[in-house]
Amino acid sequence: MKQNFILLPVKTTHALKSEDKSLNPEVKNFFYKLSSPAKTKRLHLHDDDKPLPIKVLDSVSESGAKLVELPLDSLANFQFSFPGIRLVPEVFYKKAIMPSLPLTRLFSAAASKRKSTTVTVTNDQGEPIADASIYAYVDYEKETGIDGKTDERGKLQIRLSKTVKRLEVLLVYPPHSYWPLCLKNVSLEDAITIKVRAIDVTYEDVLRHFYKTPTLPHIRKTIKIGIVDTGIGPHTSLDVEGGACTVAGERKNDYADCDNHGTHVAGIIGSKQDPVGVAAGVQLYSYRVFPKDGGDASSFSIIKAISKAVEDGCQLINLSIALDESDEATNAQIAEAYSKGVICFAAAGNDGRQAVSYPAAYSLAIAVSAMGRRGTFPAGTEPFIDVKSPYGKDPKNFIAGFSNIGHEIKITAPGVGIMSCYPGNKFQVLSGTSMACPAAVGIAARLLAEEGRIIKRTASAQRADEMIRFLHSKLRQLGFGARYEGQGMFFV
Amino acid sequence: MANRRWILKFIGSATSISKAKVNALLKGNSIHVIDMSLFPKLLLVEGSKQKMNALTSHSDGWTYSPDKSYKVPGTRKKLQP
Repeated sequence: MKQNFILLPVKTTHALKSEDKSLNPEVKNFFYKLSSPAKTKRLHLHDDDKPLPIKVLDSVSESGAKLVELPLDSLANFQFSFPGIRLVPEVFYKKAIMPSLPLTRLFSAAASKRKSTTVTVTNDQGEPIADASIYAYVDYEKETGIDGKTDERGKLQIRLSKTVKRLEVLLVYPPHSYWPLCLKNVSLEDAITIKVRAIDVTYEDVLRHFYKTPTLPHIRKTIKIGIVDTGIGPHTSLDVEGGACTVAGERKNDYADCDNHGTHVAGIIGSKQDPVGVAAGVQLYSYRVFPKDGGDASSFSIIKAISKAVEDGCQLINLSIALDESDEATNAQIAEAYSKGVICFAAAGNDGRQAVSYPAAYSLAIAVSAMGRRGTFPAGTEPFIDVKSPYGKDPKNFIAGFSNIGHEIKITAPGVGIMSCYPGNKFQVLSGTSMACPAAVGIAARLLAEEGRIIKRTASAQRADEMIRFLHSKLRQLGFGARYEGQGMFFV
Repeated sequence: MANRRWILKFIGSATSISKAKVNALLKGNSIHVIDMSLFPKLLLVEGSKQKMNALTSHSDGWTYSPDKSYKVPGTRKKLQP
């Protein structure tokens, strides 16, 4: 399949007249190469391995933006082969007419027709687990059922229609310290007791299966990674070198975690104790963009965070955040960071094979999908439900059922059943492209630290181009297909 | 028209911009400043779309886009209401 794209330099719309001194001369040459009257010809632009077919359909001017046709399967390969070039899909606008209203289906039953079941969650010692989230699915595909949280006695009463005899799926998420569970085909008795399994931090999850983090040497403190998220820590396994809170109206130096997401992300990269992170030794910077009241992160706070991370000298930025539409302001800031030699990695989103979220879908970001592996999570735990085709060349590997996919995906990384840090020196198992993204960022940091030369170059778009080319050489495809894994996964 | 937050971006060619003048311009258009920490490149402001249109159409070098809300991708399964 092919699609039309507009090719642009990182910041401007014109390569040869660009006043941007950081623009790589190779990018200028690239636009010049495409400026020949090749409207109907196919040009073959070679990387190290094989030619990439590209058809120039139109051009704004000799050195201006180009409209090209590219095979979708070669999109990630194109972007790794020609870093520093924005690839914007050609879009078509419609007339502004009122859409029809969506249809809403409700799932309810009258009180007299409902049956009550008490679910109790305990650990192996029989102690109650409070605040565990329970999702009781009558139909998992249709997402119908009931949810709630256990009280201090570890109990939750669920009421469903008397006609419901069994739950297709019952998911239990303890707040921390235990693996989330997945029970299938559960008979709806008056009482159900569920025992959860404690996290053993030396267990080999999918991240440690591929990267053997306890045996990897700590990397030199030459790399700084900015984590734009809910904040980091406190946690004794994590050293946070600096950062900022960029939420309007909140204290600038309050960049500790206001939730738990950012701490988990940071632990995957830099935890110095079991479960050890993939880039232990790296310098972690925390940029809190989510407000303390639990609200969403505004694009302005994200722009400020990226800008601050660049100013602080971060070379890599982790964006485990998602929006279902393009955001011009954040995209522009990612381009600005790229022009200063900084690469942003972003989570593809967890909507289950839906379109890649933004900012991951933006062409200058590295979109990361999530993969998993059978046998890297205990039997009966929640990651089991994320096992879905396609399977790789090794049939134990799979692309997580929750992962968004598309031709914007550039790489994949482990993101199913990942053990990491939870504020207050605790641990938690989470699954998501939010987990795959820091796994990829951390390994990229390790590879760049080992290489040593590129990271010392002047911070410019040329450095970012070189980083991308170098990292490309460390990717290996696992056999899922380009829409699922892009150019594959990093190996060390 | 309802007020909402916008990112006001300077794309003009001027090399120095007076903060006081920009403040006065925004005040004159009933636009409230929320965050000026990235001034002069970017500002976070609050106002109606109508006011933003009026501001950017009468002053050179300014453009605006909505301040959007990002989430962390959900790590738990979904349930319909």
